[in-house]
Amino acid sequence: MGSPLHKSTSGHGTAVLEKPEPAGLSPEMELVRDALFRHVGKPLPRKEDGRLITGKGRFSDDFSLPGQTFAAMVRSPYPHARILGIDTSEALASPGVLAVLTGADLLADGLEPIPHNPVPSTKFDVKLTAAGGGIPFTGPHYLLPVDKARHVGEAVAVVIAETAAQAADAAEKVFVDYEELPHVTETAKAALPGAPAVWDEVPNNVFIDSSFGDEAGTAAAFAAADHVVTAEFHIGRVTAVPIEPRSSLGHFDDETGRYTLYAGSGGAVRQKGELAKVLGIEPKNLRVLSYDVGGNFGARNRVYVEFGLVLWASKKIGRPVKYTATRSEAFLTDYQGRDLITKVELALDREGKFLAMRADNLSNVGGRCVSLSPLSKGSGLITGSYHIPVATLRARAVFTNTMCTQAYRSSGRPEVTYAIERLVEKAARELGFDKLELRRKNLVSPDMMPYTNAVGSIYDSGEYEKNMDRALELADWGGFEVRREEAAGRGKLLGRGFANYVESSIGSPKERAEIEIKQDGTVEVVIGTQPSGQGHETSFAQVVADMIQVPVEKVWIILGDTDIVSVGGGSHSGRSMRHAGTVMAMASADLLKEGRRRAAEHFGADFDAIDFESGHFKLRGTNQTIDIFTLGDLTREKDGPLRVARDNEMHTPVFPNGAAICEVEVDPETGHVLITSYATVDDVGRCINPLIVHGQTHGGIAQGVGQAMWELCAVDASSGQPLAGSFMDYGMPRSDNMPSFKCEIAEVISPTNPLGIKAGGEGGTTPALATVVNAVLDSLKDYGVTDIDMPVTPHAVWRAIHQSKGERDARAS
Amino acid sequence: MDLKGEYRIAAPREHVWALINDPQALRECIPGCNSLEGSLEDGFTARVTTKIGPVKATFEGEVTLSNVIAPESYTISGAGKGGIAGFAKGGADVNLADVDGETILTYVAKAQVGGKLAQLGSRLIDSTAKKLADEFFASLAARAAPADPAVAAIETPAERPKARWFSR
Repeated sequence: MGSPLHKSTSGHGTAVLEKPEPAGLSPEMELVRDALFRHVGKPLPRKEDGRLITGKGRFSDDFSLPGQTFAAMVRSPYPHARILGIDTSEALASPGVLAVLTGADLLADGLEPIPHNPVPSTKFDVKLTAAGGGIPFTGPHYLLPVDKARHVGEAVAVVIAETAAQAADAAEKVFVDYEELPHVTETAKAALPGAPAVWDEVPNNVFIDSSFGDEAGTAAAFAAADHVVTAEFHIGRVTAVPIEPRSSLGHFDDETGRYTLYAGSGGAVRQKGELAKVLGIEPKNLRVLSYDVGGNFGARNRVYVEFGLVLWASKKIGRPVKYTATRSEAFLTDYQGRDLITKVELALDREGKFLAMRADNLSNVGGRCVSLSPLSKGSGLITGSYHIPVATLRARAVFTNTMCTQAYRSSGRPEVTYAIERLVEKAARELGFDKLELRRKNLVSPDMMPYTNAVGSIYDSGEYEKNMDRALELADWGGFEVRREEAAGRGKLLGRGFANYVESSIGSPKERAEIEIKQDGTVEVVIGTQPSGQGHETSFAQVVADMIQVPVEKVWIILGDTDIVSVGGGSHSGRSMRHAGTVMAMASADLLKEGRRRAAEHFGADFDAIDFESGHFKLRGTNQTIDIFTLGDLTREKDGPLRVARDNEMHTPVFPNGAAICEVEVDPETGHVLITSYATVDDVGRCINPLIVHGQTHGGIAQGVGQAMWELCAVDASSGQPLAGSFMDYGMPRSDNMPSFKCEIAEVISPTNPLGIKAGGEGGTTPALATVVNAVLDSLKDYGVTDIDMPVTPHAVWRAIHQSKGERDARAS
Repeated sequence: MDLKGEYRIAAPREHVWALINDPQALRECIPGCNSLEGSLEDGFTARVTTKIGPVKATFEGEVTLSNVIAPESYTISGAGKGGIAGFAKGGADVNLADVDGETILTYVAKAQVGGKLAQLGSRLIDSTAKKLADEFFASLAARAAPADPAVAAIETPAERPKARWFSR
């Protein structure tokens, strides 16, 4: 525990403390960076927690406006049905009802579909196209559909009334004349010939069909290989279950012609831009406010139809309109996550060296395409942490009659990590290799960095084997046999699962920071990210405080109001600290430069004679100093406020990585799975606040484990009806079904950005699906169980035990 | 899901047949039926209130008879919309057999629900549908032979909707 940069919950670490050496930093930038490297890494408790746990948060539903009305949605009970007509007369005659609006009204008013831009656009994202290379048809997303309902729960009309209860009652009186159509909800079935078409424009439902990698080289390597191992996995559909259901309050001001929207999201700037296009107005005529947000995980990054509906309706009726989803509506119509079928093949030589890989990935986007991020992100990482010289991938996306999917915590990466880590495990089992040795033999090594993988992703840095060693130590891998025997004495089956991971963090490239030294002795920082529990108000304040050397209590972070925050990519893809941290560092450097200029003038000296130390500008060789706040005050009249604004764009991705180990205890009588221990090592690059990073890792683990153990958006394929509409049917990770985690942060500094940051929000989730399932399979290996689907519920485990028992008995007789 | 049931009714088949074609009798026997209007020929409009798990809903819909082979069998079908609760539809093939001057009524019923009913009550639907079907035919049987206490359901374990939650 020598270095202040070394953060670990257990007292050991794998930190590497070399600084990146990007050329051409200004003296101020170097100063800022050195200051940051001296001071960050303190586990400061979060500034926002006091407010949030005493009911003083400002969540969207907390806002109310005079004369406010309420919206209720009329939702389709059918997975696929043509809308022949909508009779609103009885609803309109109901008490308190002000308006009933349908898709036809929306067309009459000229509203545009939500411009989701689902195809990832940075130059490092894998390029996805329609079959043959064309521009894919992604399905227009109008606020209300005009032709058909394409999934159960799709809003087909909206009722506005004086009270929420009146709106809900009247919504029942809207009669929609539906013509039921054949439907398809299953990922694989939707891509089969003859499946019902969700869109007439795409008769086979497959709207993305792209291939990557070296097909001929891969085929040659497979032909020459000693061994080939194949597997197919379905990573099922889950939903984010934010503790705060989505909510929006829209208001149109007739006098100013401006709309205002209170709606928590993953980034107000994006919401403003896209909703302005839907309404056909100038972006300046829409103000979006997004303050405290009770959970996002990706589900809130994209625009929801209800956000546009309250704005449109408020103009039509001339009063503010509020809509807050019920928990049932959240289960049904929050943007959902995952749902990928992946077929993978691995070619190995006699010694276990990986030679080539093939993958065929099929992503279920639901009734229309909101985002291809999961398919794209995963496509670039199919080879995982391993050096596989050649690979090829076919990536397809398919429409189905289900709710739309969107990036969900660690978009696309847990899926491919699950595939490669289970495939490697299967190879070890079938070919007789030790599962850890097989991994070690094929890991990408530090001397290969930066490493270009077989599908073109460039891994920036990392020490994968060191992560692995450290995780094995943390989990006391060597002591497993003793624990296993102890559990066996109690009739329980102990199993352990391991997974390496590497993921990419790209994210929206633009970010802007504004820093101002205020007259009241505080520092105001305006930034375009949007926390939903990540603690930006603390960690960002920490960064700025350290860089301009003022006490952290003096720094205030301003977020979430598009009248103040003009640019910002929001919070997703592990981008916030890297993008915001970097642009805040640049802005701090600009601020210090301006400060030096003003100090030089103040002392009547040369710019070069001014130093900055401990929050004071100092005239070199004298004892004359002035602190940054006094300088701001003294020069305000002549030079204006001491204030800077800085824009930055960063496209280069980073690759957080690590290793995780899970131990489970299975009761063979009931199939119940208990997680007894969980250990991780996560290389997040430079770590700003280890307390917050650990918190992120813990939440991330729970979210990944949740999918492996309990969570599933079950749909009855024959009727197309979602079956998990409440917490009765959708199992969640909770504090009482999670162990205490052993987490450690490794800091291998990324050379791609001045602060050396990678990302820390998703690493907990990425390997968790694989570690849990590998552990459960390990516990059941004496029963001959080699495969099991997620979630590994007691019933699934019990069935696996008894099925394999039955098969063995059948073979024996 | 198929539900099956069988009743022995101490009344002649023609008597039972007349009863299951009597709108008044149907209205009184359909559990939760508030109104049933219309005719055998054109079908009926019905209003039925029922509760499945946490969802209580009033369904408005059509009840129709088809495949009518007097006095032996018909298919009774219903489809109802329960507003925000969703929809339910179902039907039963009803068969009457004459055995020693008494009647054996057998039915095979199907039920399907959608919307909130499916999202919240799916684990309860099979058992609820079975209960409702049993109530309906038990009332009919009781009406057919009100004086005879011997009327009882013949034990029918056929395709029990056993613990469907277990299979998910």
